[in-house]
Amino acid sequence: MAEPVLAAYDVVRQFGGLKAVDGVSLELFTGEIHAVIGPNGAGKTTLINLLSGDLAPTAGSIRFAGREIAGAAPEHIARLGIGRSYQRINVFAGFSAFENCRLAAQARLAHGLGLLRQARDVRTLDEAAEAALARVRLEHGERIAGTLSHGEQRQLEIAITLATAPKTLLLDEPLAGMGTEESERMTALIAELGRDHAVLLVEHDMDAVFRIAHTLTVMVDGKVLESGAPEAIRASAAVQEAYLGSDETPP
Amino acid sequence: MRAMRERAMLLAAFVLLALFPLLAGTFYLQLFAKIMIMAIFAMSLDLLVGYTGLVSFGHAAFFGIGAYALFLLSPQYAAASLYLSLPAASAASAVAAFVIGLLVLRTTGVSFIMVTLAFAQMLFYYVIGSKALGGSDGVYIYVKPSPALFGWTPVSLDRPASFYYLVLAALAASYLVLRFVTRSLFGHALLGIRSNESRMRALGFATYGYKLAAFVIAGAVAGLAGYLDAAQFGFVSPDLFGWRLSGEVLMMVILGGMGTLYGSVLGAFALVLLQDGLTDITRHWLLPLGLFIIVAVLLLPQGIGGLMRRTEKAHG
Amino acid sequence: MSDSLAFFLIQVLNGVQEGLLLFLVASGLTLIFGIMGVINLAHGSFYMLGAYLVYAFTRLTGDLWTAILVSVPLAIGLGVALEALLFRPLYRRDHLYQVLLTYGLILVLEEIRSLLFGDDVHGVAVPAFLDFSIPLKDALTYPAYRLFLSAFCLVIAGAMWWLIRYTRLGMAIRAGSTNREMVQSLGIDIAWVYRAVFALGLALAALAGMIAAPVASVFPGMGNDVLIVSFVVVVIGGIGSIKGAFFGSLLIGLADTFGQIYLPQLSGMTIYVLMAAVLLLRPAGLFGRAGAA
Repeated sequence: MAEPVLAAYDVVRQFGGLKAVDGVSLELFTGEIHAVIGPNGAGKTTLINLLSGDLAPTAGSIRFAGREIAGAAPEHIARLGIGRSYQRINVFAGFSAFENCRLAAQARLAHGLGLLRQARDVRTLDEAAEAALARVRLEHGERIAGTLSHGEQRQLEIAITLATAPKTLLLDEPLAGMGTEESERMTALIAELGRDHAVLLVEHDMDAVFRIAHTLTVMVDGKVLESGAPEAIRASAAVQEAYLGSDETPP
Repeated sequence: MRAMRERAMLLAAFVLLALFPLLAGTFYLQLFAKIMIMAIFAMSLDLLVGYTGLVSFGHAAFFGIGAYALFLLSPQYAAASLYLSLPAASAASAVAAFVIGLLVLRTTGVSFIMVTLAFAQMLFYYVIGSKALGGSDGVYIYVKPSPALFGWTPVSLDRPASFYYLVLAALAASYLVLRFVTRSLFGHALLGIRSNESRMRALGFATYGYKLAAFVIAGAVAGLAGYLDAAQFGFVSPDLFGWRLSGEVLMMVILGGMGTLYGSVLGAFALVLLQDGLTDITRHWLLPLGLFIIVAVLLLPQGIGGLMRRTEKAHG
Repeated sequence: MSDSLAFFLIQVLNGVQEGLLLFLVASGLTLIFGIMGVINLAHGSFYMLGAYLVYAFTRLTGDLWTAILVSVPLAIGLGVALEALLFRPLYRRDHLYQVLLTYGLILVLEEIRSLLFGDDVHGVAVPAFLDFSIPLKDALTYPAYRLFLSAFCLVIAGAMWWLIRYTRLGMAIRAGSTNREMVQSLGIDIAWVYRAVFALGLALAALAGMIAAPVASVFPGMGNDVLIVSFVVVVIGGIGSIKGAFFGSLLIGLADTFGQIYLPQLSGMTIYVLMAAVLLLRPAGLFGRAGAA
């Protein structure tokens, strides 16, 4: 099999006495959607934070295309082509949706600080922003981000991530709080993205997960309980047991 | 539409300022020159506060450096060359801003406010302790800088009107430069940093570098203002590094409405004229000023510029 | 003991005393930052307030202790009033507006002081029974009042430690401003915590001004120097950390005292050099939480 694009090996993240992530290993491959599920507090968001560089691991290794990146700064990791969306809406509230995406696209410009704006560059940015908004089907991009509905803000959240044209996507509960129709569309979009990106999907929506994920990892209390193909996970007694105490019911 | 109206108003304001010397006597020429110097200073701080979200309470440090640079570059009884000393003063402030920026930008929020204040105070105490720089009494610059070129002196800056036009030119140039910076992609990035710095980093922006660049640009322009201040009355003192001045200019930016550049100019006019008016009434004019600030903060969250923008929106 | 040892001991005692007094001011400052997230530029003015209150009441009653006993409740009362009137609206606002408002407050307090007490330097007499010197070696002596100051500050520090470890208020303080929800879920009224912390902070600063008055004099602008140095302490110690404020204050007190003796060419810049070093190596402060702003 091909080399994983992004991988974590025995990663640990400790906060004082608490091990939020305790020896987790995981591999992401292009063209594959790898879902991470588990009860609240299992350490899923911490895991994403470790992969995106927002947190440095206490122990363990994180590799991008074979190179060690544990402890690297978030901006460095982003420039490697790893994009991340947030569980809680984290947009630029005072800007329009379009400007949000444009700013994200600007991050990809190679040269300097952009003090001397170039017309050619501005057009590229505008196009990238339009494309990102179109991909998530968010219309009327001139509206201010803070005034969008919750579902639209979630769409914007994904659009911002896509506007940087990442090759690897870390999606933290992109479907949270979405209505059925919006959920369907977003799930279809993620499935589409999964074809040519490496996708890590943290989600609670089991329907969506079992429909589009190629691999599942179940996390409980910071550790990996089980990892494998969706059918195997679904049938696993251990997983069923782990979920009995929580409010998520497996399908 | 709004952009055109804004541009028209700015142009009108510039024309009025340019015609002002025809009507005004020496006192008002000097007062307005002083206001315009503070306006340049305030705009430079607006780049930090209004656009990048960096609340610096030590911006006077760079003002003071620009002022003392003129002192250091002026021969004791002769004029320094305007063309050499002005850029040098600004450059000196820029270098200081780079060094200080490298350190202070390692913190954020409340810590940032404190360390910027602390560094300005450090310079304050350094100057007070330095005999070479005149100590706490301050020091005089006996001859104004001269715009002489190859022996030919086009104007004498001793004439209030000439000095006024120099400052007006500096104000216009600073405004245009800062506007260019804020309208560029760099400026957009600064706004993004102000709005949500962690997301900017997550997107791939090296925000430390952007903030440092903004800090240096702001320092350079503040140095220009300091230089002109020293040139105006030929006197510099450690108070130019003081927290009172840092507070005053911050007031101008905030009360004038942040993030519009010209708002800071308005703030400078408002505050200096207010001070001027209050000083006539009472020796303890800082009391009503302080009360005014407190009330203004409690009532007006957006500043004068914001007030203008709000009334504009109402009119469509 | 030898002459140089006695001299060294005097400097250490001075440095410790300076540091401990600074701790009273800085701890209030760091608490207000850490718990309410409010930057208070007028904190130095509270120090000044304490000094002037004690000056006024000592003139009235002739006795420093009575003056302190009267001034402390006054200071606490003022703290409660200011918190309700001016600071409560600031809690959710940008630091920007906190800076601006407290800057205006400094101006107001300075002018009120000027109107009430004028601009001269005043002195407050050291209380009679502490007005003696402890002999160290030959002509070298150490003022008893300064030792008393250090002891007093240590007692206060001890009281603070007890407060933080063993009371509900202390629990709330340890939880910090990042855990508002946790504090509320502990059944503590957050509004009351804020009021108490603010009044405590103000009272500590004022108390420092009160007890320092006999050695530091009472003069315009006395608050500003203390404020700046307190800021440096908080940066070095870490925001919201009382432990940091304690060690930071001692470090600064000693560095300043020894710096002036052994490195006069740096003329009072030693503490800023220390601050710059901390910024380079540990921007969050010695005991600070990384990521706390």
